[in-house]
Amino acid sequence: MEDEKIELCCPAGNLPSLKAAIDSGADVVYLGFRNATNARNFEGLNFSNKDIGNGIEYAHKKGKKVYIAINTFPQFHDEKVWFESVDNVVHLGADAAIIANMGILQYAAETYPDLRLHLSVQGSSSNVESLNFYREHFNVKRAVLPRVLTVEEIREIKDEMSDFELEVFGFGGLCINICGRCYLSSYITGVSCNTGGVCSPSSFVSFENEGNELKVSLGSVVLNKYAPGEVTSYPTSCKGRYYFNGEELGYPIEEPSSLNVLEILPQMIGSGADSLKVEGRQRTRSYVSTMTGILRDAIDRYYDDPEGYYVDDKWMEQAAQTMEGMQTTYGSYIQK
Amino acid sequence: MTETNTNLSLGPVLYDWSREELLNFYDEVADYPLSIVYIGQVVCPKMAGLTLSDLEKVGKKLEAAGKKVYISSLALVADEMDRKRVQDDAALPFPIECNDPASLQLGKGKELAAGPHITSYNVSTVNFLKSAGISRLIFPVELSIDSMKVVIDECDIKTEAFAYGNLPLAFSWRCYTSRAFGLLKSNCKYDCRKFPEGMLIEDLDRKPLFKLNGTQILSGKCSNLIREVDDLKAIGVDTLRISPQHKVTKEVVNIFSKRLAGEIDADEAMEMLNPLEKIGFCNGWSHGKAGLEFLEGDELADLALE
Repeated sequence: MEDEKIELCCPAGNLPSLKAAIDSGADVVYLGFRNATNARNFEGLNFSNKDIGNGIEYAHKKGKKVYIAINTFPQFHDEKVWFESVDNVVHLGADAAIIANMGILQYAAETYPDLRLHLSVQGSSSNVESLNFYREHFNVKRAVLPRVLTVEEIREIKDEMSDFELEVFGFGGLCINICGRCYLSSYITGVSCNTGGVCSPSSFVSFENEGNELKVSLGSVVLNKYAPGEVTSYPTSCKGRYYFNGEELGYPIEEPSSLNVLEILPQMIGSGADSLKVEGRQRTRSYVSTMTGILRDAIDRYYDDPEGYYVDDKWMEQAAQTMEGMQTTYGSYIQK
Repeated sequence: MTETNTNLSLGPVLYDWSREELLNFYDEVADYPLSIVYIGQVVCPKMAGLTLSDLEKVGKKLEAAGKKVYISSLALVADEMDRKRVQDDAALPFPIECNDPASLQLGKGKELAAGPHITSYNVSTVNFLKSAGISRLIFPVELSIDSMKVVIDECDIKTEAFAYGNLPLAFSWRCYTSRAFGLLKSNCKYDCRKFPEGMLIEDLDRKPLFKLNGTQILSGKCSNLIREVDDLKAIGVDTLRISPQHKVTKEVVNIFSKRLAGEIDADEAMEMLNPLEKIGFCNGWSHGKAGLEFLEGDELADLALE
C-alpha cells in the first residue's frame, strides 16, 4: 500500500450506516452478521445476509470495500455457525474476513485459500513473534492491533514486518484491557464477551434513583452513582467508579473516555500503519457519517501538506458531540 | 469413561513477592504433594520475581524433587522489555506454558502447554494448537465444566482446570497499581511490592469486586472448586491448578491433596479452607453462571437436577 493514503476503515451496524460511511469518505466499511460470531452482537443491530449483499454492491460500485468480522470464540459444538459465517463471507463476495479464533482461522485458510484474512483485535496479537505466528499458520495478511502499543512500537513492528499490513484504532470506544482476554464483564454477568460477543449486556444494566443520585448497576455490582448534571456513559465494569487502596474513591481502571487521535494523526500515519479504524458498529448512522467525514478531511489535509497539518476546532467540537461530552484520550499511543 | 487419576499443579506466582520470599517459597514447594509446578513471570517483567538464573536453579531443584516444571510466559507482550523476557524464558531448559502466541512461535520444537490466556475454547482450536506443538491445555478460566467436557471427550490432550485462587481476569498496557499512586507504568515505583495479595477494589456498596496487581486485574473473590473436585475428576480433567496465595499455599495444596485422595469429604475440606480466605469464594463460572457467584448446598443440588 505504499505511496497511498492510509486506509479509512469505518463501522456499520446496519445498511443505512454503511451507505453513510461510504458517502462520507470511508475506504472500507466493516460489519458483522446478526449472531454470536459478532463481537458487537447487540440487540436490534447488525446485518441480514441480504443487507450485506446490498451493502457490498453499494460499496463496490463506488470502488470501496467491505470487511466482515467473525470475531468471537465458539464454545461447545457451536463452531458450525462460525464456519458457515466464513462460507457466507465468501459467497457474499466481501473483500476480507476479520477473524479472531485460531480454529476458525484454520478452517478459513484451508477451505478458502483465496479469501483475504485479517486477524481481529480480539485475537490480541501485539508483537512481531505473535503476528508471525498468525501469518505463518493462516496466511493472515493484516492484523488489527490491540490498543496496547505506542506509536513508536507500532513503527518498530512495521519496520520488522514491512510486507504485513497493520490496522490501528483512531477513534471511538476504548478497551483499556487487551481484547479477547478480558473477562471482567463475564465475571459479573456470566455472559462471555469472547463467546457471546457482548460486553456489559444491556439486559444486566439497571438504573435506580437513590436520593438525588442515579445509581447504575451491572448485575449485582454498582458501577457508578451520578450526581445531578454529571455526564453519564454506557456502563462497563472497566469504567466504573470504585473504592481502591482502602478509602480512595475514583476510576482506578479507566475514566469514561474515548479514543481520539486527530491531534496525533501525523504520528499515527508516520507509524506506517496501513489502515485507520473507527470503533463503533453499535453507534448511530449520524455518528458514523460525522466521524467518517472528519477523519476523511483530516487524512486528506495531512497528505495535501504533511507539515502544515492542523486540527480544525470544528472537528473537535463535532467529535465531542458524538461522544456526548466524554473526555478523550490517546490511550497507549503516546505514553504508557 | 474411566476416571482419570487427577493430580495437582501449582500455577505461577502472579504477585510481586520479593526474590527472597520466592526462593524460600519454592524451597518448601519441593516437598508439596504436587505433580507440576509452573514458575516464571506472567504479569510484568518489572516485578521483582526471580532472575533467569534463579529460575533455572529453582526449576532444576523442583525437577530433582520429582516435579514436572514449566516456565510460564508473559500474558501480554507489548514492548521491548516484554519481548526480551519471552525470548529469554523460551531459552530456559524447561517446557513452556504459553500465555501469548509469541511463546508458541518462540517455543517451536519444545514441549508446550497452552496457558489460561490462550483462548482455546473449542475443539477445532485445540486440535489446531496440538498441531502447533501444544500437549497440555490449561482451560480459560471462564469455561464451565460442561464446556470442558466437550474438549476432553473430543481431543486427546492433557487438560488442567484452575481450581483455587484469585482468577486472572484481564491484562492491560496500563499499570493499575501505579495509577492508584498517580504514576505511569514507565515511571513506576514498584508499588506492587506493597500488595502481595493484590490491591482490592470495592464497588460503591463496598462489595469486593476486583484486585489490582500491576497490569493485571484479578477477581476480588477467590475461586474455589473444592466442591467440584468429583465432577472435574468424572469428566477426566488431568490436573487441578492451585494459584499461589500469600502465606497459605501450603495449607490449600494439602487440603486439595487430601480431598483428591478421598481422605476428607467436600464439607470437611470447605471447613478447612474457610479460615484461609479473607474476602470470600466464588465458583459460578464452573456452573455456567456469573464468575463471582458462589453456589453451595441446595443451589448445587438444584443444578445437578437441571
